[in-house]
Amino acid sequence: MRRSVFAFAFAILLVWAASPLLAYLKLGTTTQTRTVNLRWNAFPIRYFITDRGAPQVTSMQFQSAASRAFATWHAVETAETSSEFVGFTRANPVTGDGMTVLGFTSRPDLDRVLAATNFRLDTSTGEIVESDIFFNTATSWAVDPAGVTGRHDLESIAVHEIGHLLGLSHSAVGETEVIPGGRRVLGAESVMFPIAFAPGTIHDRSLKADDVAGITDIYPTTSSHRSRGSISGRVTKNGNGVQGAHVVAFNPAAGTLVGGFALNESGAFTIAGLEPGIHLLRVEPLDDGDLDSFFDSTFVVDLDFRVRFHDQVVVVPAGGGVRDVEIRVTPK
Amino acid sequence: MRGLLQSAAAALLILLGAHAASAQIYRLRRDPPGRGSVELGGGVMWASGFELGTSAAQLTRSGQQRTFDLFSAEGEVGGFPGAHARVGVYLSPTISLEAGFRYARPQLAYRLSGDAESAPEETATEIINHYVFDGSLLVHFPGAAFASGRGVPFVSGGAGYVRELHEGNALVETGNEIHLTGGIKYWFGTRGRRVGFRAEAGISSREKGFDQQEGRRLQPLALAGMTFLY
Repeated sequence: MRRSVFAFAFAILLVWAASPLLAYLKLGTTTQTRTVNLRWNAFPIRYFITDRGAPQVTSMQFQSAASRAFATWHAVETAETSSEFVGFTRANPVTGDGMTVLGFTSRPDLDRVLAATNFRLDTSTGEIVESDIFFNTATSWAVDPAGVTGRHDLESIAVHEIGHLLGLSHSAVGETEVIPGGRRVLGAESVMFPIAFAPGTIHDRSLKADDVAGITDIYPTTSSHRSRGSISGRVTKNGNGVQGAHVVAFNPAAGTLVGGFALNESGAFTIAGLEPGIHLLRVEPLDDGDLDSFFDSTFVVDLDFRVRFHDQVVVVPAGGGVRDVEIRVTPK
Repeated sequence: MRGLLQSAAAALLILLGAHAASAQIYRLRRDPPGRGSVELGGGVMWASGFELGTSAAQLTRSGQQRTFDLFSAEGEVGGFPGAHARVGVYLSPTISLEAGFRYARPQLAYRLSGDAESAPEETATEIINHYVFDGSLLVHFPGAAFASGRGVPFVSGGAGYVRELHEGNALVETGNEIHLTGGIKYWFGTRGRRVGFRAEAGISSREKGFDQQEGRRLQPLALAGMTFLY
């Protein structure tokens, strides 16, 4: 018997409750005996667009932006995904009607939420059978090629949400500062960072290495199994695991950053989908976003340790993994 | 007949000048390596280190300032000692061809600093297994010999295949190198079979391997060891 549950992921505030016990930035769900990744098993993903526009954006413009956003993910050479626009619909993008729908919805109650993705899935296998994305008309949208000051770029936010639709969770590869009423992004190197850039910015139309690693991890091509590698190990403090520690792998030759999390009490982490070569590791407390942007409320995140670099160069092999890397941190 | 010709040539060279004469004396007093003579050698080597440059871990930002530096990584390879072995065949008394092998374990180090969240500076290191398989052409200058002909200068040039294994043999990276060196061989005997000391220094130009710099990188190189002539 197939059971279905719904989980919700938001661009600014994440309120889904998927299990955090899986790999770094993938969405997961828990069965009775194990945890499984969320992923589509059937391609192309057939999607509809709601035939309602929003101020400044017609439904046709919306469809063009969404199509470009899907294409951005499908263009990743190391991953295998595809989609197909079926047509316009009157269906609501937040209902579980068996149709994958993207569209505008007015949600003034969620005034800090730009957009959100929800799922209908088989919780025994993690297979996504339907996903809907709503874009909140409580914010101002734009589809201009260069972006519009004061309005959020629809294509950029669509790339982020479609990342969720494909099974990616949030990434913590970014830095923020606390400001009255929330946080401000100082910089981010992942489209899947939970806090959007300022309105008018179009940076998130392009995927970063962190996004490519994540999608490659979920939907690897046959060749990427052989061409990509991983790093796994533990983050420890006084001999004990550091749950929720954020580990970033920096490739100095390519200048790329890919992140991952220590996802259990033993502090175990895995960062997959990495390009082969030299990597330098940095571990930090997860203090650049609200914890519930990443994990559900039952997940205890250890924030009591200092940022540090690993004292060994880590070399990722092609088609294999580096294991047993131990990064020792000290309390604050 | 051959001895007569050599004597005649010696007499002619003595008339031409002192330097040429001493060279000819060397030739007359020693058994030079002949065509087909084989030389085996081995010893120690040293290659200078080099900087790999600084790479910044940058985040994209939305303001006019396009990037936010999370931290920076300054890489370098320290000067490294190693071992070498080679075998050569003389094509003539002055020219030989050699095949060689060099092995070393350079340390790769990245100094991590400038962290946006004040992580203490750290140096991440790794030992690399560095192999070079090369071929060289040697030209000897018996005319410039010294110490009663025991010391013979030479120059060597060639190219090689670089094979480098990261720690734990996790990844193999390959490249190439070109070298040009000059040195001396100091022989301790006069017979056809003899033992000697060989030292040389020069430049190696490498490309690729673990070093991802575009283009070639020059490295001073020195080798020394014993050599045996058969």
